[in-house]
Amino acid sequence: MELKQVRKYLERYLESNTTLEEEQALYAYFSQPNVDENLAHYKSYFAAIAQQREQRFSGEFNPIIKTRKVQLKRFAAIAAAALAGVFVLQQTIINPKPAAEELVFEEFKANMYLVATQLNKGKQGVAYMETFNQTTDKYLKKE
Amino acid sequence: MEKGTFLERILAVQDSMFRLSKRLLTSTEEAEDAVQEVLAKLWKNMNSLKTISNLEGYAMTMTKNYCLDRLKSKQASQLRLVHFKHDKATSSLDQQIDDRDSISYVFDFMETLPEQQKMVLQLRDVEQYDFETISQITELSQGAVRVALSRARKTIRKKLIKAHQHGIETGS
Repeated sequence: MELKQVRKYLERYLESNTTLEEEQALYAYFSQPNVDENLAHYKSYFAAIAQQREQRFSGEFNPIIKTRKVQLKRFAAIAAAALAGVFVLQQTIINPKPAAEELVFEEFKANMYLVATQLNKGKQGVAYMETFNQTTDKYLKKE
Repeated sequence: MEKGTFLERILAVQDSMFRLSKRLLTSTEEAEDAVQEVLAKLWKNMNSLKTISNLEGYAMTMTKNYCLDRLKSKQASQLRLVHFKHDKATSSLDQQIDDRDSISYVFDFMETLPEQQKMVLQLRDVEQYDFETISQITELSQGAVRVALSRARKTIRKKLIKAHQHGIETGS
């Protein structure tokens, strides 16, 4: 930027009549090494302002942690609701099928019980036959 | 507005809030506390703030009000003196470097300005807000903002020239 222009901008700057763009041009001029000697006193001013812009808030805002917690809670709630839903579905939809199967199973069980009792009877018969055989063998061997 | 976007918008101004607080309260610690307080307040009132279009400006206004309230209370002014001394002590460590030295002078000059001028200078030169926004934040008319800014800039310029001449005289 030309020195004439810089002076003009500075004049307007002091009267608060510069636009943000013109002020930007002033910062640019004073941040370069070749500043006119008569304007050198402005250099530290614009440097100080620019330096201040670098300041950052170093603290951590607590609600961030809170929101994370809330999100976690919400996720947990959704997960719990989903699990409950699945469980209810299982109870209402999937269970009737096992009920039908259960009936078949009960029938099968009853049949098997019957078979088992019959088998037991048969087994007793077999056992009887066995002892009968043994005793007859005794006598047959003796004779 | 969702919580996420609300938070994003608030956090986007937190540095500006901090710098304004630091300019007004001087101490870094106090400025950080101020930002925390204002952020927490904004967060708490999120639902009622949904209708505010310029949330950033609103957050800055709240920061300004909070800091000015703090300054009004006697307790804060006592703290401020302590920290002011502390800040000066740390900056004197850097005084070996000429540039740094003259920059710290500028900060000292800014410190001497009346609150209103300090605030306006900060919002315009550091934060680069337009006059309409500054008027909103400071709750001053645009004319009053321009006058205060002009005064602030001229005062600092005067002091800079003095300091510069003094520097040249002692240097030669």
